[in-house]
Amino acid sequence: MTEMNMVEAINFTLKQEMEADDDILLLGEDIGKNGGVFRTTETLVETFGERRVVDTPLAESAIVGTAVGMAIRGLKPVAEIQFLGFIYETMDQISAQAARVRFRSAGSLHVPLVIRAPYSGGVKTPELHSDSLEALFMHSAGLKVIMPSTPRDAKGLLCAAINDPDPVLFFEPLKLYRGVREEVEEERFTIEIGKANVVKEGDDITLISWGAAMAETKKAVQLLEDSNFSIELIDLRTIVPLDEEIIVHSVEKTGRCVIVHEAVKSAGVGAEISAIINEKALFYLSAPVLRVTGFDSPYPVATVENDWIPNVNRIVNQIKQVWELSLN
Amino acid sequence: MIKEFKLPDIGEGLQEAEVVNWFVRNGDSINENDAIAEIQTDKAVVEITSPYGGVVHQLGGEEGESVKVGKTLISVETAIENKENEESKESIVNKEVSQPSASKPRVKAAPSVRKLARELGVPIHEVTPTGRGGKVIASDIRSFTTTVEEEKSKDPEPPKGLQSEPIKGLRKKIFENMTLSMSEIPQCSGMDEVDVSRLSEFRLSLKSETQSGSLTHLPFIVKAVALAIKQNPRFNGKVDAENMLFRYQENIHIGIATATEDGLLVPVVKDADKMTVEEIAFAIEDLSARARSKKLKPYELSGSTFTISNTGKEGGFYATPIINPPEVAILGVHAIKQKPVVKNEEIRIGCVMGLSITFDHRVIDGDHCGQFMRALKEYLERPELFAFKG
Repeated sequence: MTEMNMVEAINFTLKQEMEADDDILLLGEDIGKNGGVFRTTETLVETFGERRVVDTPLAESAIVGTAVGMAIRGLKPVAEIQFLGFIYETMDQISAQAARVRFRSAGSLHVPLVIRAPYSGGVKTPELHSDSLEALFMHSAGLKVIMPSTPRDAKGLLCAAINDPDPVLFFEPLKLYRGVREEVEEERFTIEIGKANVVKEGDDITLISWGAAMAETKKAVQLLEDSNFSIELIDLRTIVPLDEEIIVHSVEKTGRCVIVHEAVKSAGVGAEISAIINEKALFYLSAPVLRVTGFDSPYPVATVENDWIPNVNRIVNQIKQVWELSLN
Repeated sequence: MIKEFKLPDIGEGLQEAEVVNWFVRNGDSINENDAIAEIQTDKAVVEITSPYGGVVHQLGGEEGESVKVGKTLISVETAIENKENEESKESIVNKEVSQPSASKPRVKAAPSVRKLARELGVPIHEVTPTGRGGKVIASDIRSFTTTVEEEKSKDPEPPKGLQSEPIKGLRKKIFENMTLSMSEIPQCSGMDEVDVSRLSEFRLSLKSETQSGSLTHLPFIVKAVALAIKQNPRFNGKVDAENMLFRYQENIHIGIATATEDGLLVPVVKDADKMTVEEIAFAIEDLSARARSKKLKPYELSGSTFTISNTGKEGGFYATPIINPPEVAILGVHAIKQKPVVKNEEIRIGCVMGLSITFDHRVIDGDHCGQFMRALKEYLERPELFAFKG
């Protein structure tokens, strides 16, 4: 076991997997000599050379397009998009190509591609550097979407993603890159894609979150635990496939649910979860499912971003609201 | 083939109605449009006719039982026609899904509370809600079962000398309406007395002029109220709480609360301001007689814009009438007593009547009430104004 932050865990995993499998290669802007803007690929070019750690031109669609071709022909590319907000350039390569190849070829071709991209706000980045866009990919059938919130989860899930036969989007919360350190196993291990983590069991309210929003959500749980609320906290870890079983089981137990995510509210992943609860656990509900989310606007300028991102107060208020709604 | 006649909504969003009287029995032959039953609606007894001719196959309930709107009132064996088509339609509609019952009022409750009610076998629409906004909450379901258990465990023999009777039919409607009124409307009552000595003389002097059976004070009061409303149209308004609107109503339709064997009915004198006192007298006589024999039509019991409650000789001198929603005021008129009246620094014996008005204090202030009562008293104290202003 070694203590790592998320950047270190990702770097460690990439190195470990590349050592284990020569077909794995990395593509991205400034990922070679520069080691990536967040140092997630630091030293890898020295270890594996420029044929396996490819510094690309500043052209996101080319990065992903090339990676899709490589994956179809048997390599295991891990492409980096410098910030998730730049992924719009690659929507065609991802949603119209990578996501469909297996379906279109009736299973004879696969796209074992991983696309890594940092996202999330709270670090005062300029425009298009903070957007949470997971819902776009949830809506494109054929993709898997992973959003870890801890260094250990990042390692286990990235290992699973690289070895998955289908395209996986791996979104890394910028704010948590260096915010948390924890003990992580050095040996290879995987965390099953599509399996949520019940961070804490409780009886009163199910609180569901993932990725960057987990930080504030955990603070809210701490506050409410002190006032005797028994909260069950679920870290989804994977947005697609969604762990419906854990969600439904938990709501059946608590009868109340609040979802916290940083992305905008309308047609967000929270809406999907709410609909699933409606379909599968309606008769266990004591109150409507509530959401704490970003607002339906473009991600704002740095000076007001802390008011835009779901914060502890907003989360606590909604939890109290769902509690009150259920009592009277 | 057997055709079912489902109880229609015969007025004002009726949800269920009691069968007072069956005119037919199983096996009777009937023609189309024959009267088959008398039905007690919220307000009146209505005769129902059959849309089909044939042989009565089954009745939808016993006399005294309630039938829900949309449920079969009667099924009639008619001549065979279009049998296959009808049957296949029926089977699609009835067998695939059970029909939603339009009859039960919507209950506000969380899905988990509904589930609890189902598990405990509690009829959720019978549970008294205590949650915010009239919502049934889990504890209501639990206390309902406790109450039922307690009642079951009680000695089945009722205490001697005491009888109970179900609150149903018209009494149930009054029960609900009064609860609604008192829970939703902040009500305030004002009281005053009016010297009707001259009105009484005036009335006696006109008695021989009219064909009306007994020209009482009431037609004069109705006319006076209608005229006072004309001067104070706020009293003819209604509250639309949903849209936060106060609506003034053009027509002045005065409801007359009338005691019947089963309880209070409110037949309506339509456009009272446009009628003469004599016309009002005839209308009241007709309406009250038919109210007592339960022969009023639903439209004759609805649409009032203001209600007068006449407590009569035995009703005391003042009262606090309760507003008939969605109206905004109700006038109580009471016994006429001989009392000393002071006028021009002289005391004489006068015929004095107590007046009580209850108004919706959200939309009517004490000042409005004072103006209305002053106008009303003016007419009742100076009956010549009926001729002059009416």
